[in-house]
Amino acid sequence: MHHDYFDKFKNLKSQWSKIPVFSRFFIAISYIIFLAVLPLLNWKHLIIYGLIEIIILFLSKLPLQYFFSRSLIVSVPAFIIALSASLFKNPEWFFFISLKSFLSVGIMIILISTSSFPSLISVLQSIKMPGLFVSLLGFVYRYSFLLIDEFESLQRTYKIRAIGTNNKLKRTAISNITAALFRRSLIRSDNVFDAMLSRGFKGTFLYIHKQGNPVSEYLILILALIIFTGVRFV
Amino acid sequence: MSETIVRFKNVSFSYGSHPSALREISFSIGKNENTAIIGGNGAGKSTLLLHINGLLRGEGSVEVFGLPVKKNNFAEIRKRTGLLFQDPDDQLFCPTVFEDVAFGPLNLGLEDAEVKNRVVKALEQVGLEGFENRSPHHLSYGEEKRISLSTLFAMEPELLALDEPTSNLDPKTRRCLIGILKNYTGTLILATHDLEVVLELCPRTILLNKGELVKDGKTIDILSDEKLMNENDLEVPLSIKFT
Repeated sequence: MHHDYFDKFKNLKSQWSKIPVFSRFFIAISYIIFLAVLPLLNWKHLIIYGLIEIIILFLSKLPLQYFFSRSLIVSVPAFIIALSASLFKNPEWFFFISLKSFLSVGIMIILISTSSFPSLISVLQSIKMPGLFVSLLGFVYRYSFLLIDEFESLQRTYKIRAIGTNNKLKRTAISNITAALFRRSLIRSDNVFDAMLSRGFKGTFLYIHKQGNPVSEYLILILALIIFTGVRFV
Repeated sequence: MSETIVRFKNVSFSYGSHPSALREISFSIGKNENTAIIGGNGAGKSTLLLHINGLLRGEGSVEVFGLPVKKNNFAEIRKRTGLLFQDPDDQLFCPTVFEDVAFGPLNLGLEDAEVKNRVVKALEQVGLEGFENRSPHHLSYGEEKRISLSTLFAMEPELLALDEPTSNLDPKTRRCLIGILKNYTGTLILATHDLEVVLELCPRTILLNKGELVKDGKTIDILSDEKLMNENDLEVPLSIKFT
């Protein structure tokens, strides 16, 4: 079973990863807010924000191919919305909105890929996000591994036996695999939930709060906010 | 008899429309009275274990530590009972070994420092110190089993209920696991096919067949009764046969 589909580069040693997760999280969120409130066609400031993201990307040492492929895939819906918004107005809007969306998605990709998911959950808890929301995220994270694990196991079984089968049989096999995947995931998730209950789980995921240095965390965040605000005065 | 830890009284259970998985089961287990639950496939061993901490509830009554197994008492019973699942992939669900072992102690409401201590101590108990940052799902099967056990040790339970703890293990890992369990000072309930382990760890045995309690008595008496063993899809362990 693999566990690094989300936070694949969480152990990457970089300048970016030296920043506490709490600060990284709020740097990313405030960056997105600054982008969101940027007036349309303010290219100069958008390019400066883009340069800041490129610096963060290089500081994070995230592989460029990984960054661009993930960001582009996630940005597709935003590109479609940008296209529909610009069709009847100004075609230049499309490029501006698309770039804005791409940058917003990009900073989140950097954050999620380089931070362990549990530490992000811990940040959400520390800022008093609703427990239900945090628990849901935790469940999604845990069950996604189980689903992938079951899928890989079924895929192996299929490959072993599907030698020389025609397309019709392949389609039938794939539909059977899908049904089996659903059934097995259900059983597995039931068992896992039982294991959680038997170890005292009461509906809320609890985490150890890492002892950081709150002063330095806030100082880093304030510095980032000063830079983001300063861009608007350039 | 010492203080009763587990008491089953006329417990019956069935999965939907299937024939009863447990039928009118009654027995009591005293403190430190290590007991094995044995029987062939489908005898009801795992189903019985799941009743101990209320994951399954059938007809009749189950009491653990003198408390009826019902919703109000789940927290207290689960705090004092460790349940090991047959498949370690069911038991381990966190991204790192540390988080998995810490899961139980955190749910007990312990302070962060105490949780960390418990994790270190539990991993030491199973001989896997330094595995904290490893992913449980990238370990060998034997290591997964030992980590699963450490998730229970971290809660410092008074009762351990283990479902097939030695299944699919190589001889060395199996021996290591037996050593760990021998050092455990609480009460042990073992559901297993591994009758050699039963001989080593449990002076008392309960034999099940198709959900019914067939025999309850001294391990050596039950395991050396060839007729009884054959009738219940088991066989006399080699260590008894050749002595």
